[in-house]
Amino acid sequence: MITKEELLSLMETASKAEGTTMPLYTKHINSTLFLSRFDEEEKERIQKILLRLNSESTDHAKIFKQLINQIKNGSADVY
Amino acid sequence: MLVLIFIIVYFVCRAVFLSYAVSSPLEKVLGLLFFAAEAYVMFHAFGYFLGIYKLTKSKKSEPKITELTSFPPVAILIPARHEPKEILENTIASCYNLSYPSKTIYILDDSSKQEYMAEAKEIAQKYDCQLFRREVWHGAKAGILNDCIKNLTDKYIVIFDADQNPISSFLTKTISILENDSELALIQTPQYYSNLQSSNVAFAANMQQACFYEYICEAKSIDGAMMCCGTNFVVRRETLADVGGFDESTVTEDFATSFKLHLRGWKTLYYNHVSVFGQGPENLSAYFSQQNRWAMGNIAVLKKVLAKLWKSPSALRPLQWWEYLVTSSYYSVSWAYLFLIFCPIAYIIFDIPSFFMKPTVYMFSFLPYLILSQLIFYAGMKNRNYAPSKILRGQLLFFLSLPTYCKGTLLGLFGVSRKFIVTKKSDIGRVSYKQLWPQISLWAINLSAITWGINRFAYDRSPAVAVNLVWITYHFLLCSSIFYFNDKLEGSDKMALFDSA
Repeated sequence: MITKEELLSLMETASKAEGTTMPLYTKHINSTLFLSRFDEEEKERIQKILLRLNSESTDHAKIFKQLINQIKNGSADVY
Repeated sequence: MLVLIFIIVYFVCRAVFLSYAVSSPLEKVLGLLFFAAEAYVMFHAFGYFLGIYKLTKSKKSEPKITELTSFPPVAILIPARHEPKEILENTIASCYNLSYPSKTIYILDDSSKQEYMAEAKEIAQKYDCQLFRREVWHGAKAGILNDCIKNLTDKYIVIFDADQNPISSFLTKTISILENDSELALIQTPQYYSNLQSSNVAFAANMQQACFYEYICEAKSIDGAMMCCGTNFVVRRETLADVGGFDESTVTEDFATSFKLHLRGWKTLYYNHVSVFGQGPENLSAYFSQQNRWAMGNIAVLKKVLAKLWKSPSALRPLQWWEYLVTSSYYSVSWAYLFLIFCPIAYIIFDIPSFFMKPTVYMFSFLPYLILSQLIFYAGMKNRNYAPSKILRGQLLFFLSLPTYCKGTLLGLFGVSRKFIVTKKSDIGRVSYKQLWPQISLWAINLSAITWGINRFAYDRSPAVAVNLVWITYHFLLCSSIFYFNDKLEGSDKMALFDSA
């Protein structure tokens, strides 16, 4: 069991981590791929997958924020 | 080994021709200096190739990494001074996300401007980390590190520059290695510059860094002389206390402290897995200021190394001494290069010879060394996935830095203190050419010598004039890269895969 306050604190931490680091690591991937041994075709494929992951992570962050708000505004105190 | 044979053959030929040359006293002196300059350059080239040779002969063994069952406390120290908010926040965010439970992040704020101090405080509050400020300023970066560390009890200290972003597994791996070897004081890791697409300078600086991190560091680690590079490293706190903290007497406290650690018998290790992304200097002004600091610091350490070698030669193993001598004297090779650049000019314009050798003998003794050494260098880097065209840019930037290295080594040699200047990463674009006067002067002198040399060659078609003219043209082309570097990288946006959201 976990109290509302504890749960919100953990969720805020997770949200902060996702919100700050996904764009950060994504930015660094540019130079990693640029210096990699992959050929152009492979780079393009990786790029597509990473773009998808990036966009999914953005969507996930939004859903997570909504969930935090839902818990904040909810009446339940123990989960 | 073949390179070594070619070096010896060339030097024997040179020595023979030099001793039998009929010349004036001035020419004799210049000839000897030329010979010494060549020997000094080749000493460093030999150091590099010896490293490659050792790496090819030694069995590469990965350090033991086990899953951690307990997590000893780690203090992550991030010294910052007038660092842009976004850059500092990125670093704190990536440290915050390190997958290691027992960590405390400290921002060591050395800013004197209120706006930066307020920003550091805001970031510290946002990420729940400690903000440390010192009351009395001393010893630049080393000073604030020591002031903070003396209050800490954590088993390990990690240091990141304010623009370094580690990936989440950084601590679990490095701490595991340290936990498995109690004699190991320090682990150094490499870094990528992730802004290499934003400017030609950052790109070339990254390539220079690649040469250093790929072969030089690995070879040093084999010899038990891997030095600390000032960022992206983990150090056992008790070993740091054993040597009295970071050395505050030089601007390269990392290198000087490594020397102390080795003198005390502690081990260091280079863990060649990129797990940190950093920001390289983005224009020539920032780059030269960084290089000047490194040159000053290294030569200051050279003085310490030579003094210690003289007093107690058994304090380190011969290979450790070798590595320290090569590294600490590295930047002083700029004087030898500068002399070698001016000698062909002196011959073409003033008709003062300093190189005494028959052109045919020169061709057959020097060219094999030159070709083979370049082949090994480029093939070695290609083997680590760095194309020659990329590495060439790093070499061009090295050439342009020669006047900076000369200045830095001179200041370091005479112990002239300069204010510690933090390398600026946010300045992209052109620097005023007035600021680049040493490089522009070198370019102009070479251009004048080419003009004069072509005129001279029209009347005197001797091989000596031709060879000197070739060297001057080569130096002129290298100098011309100043115009390439003093600009933004064209089409950098095309290279970007994502928008940095």
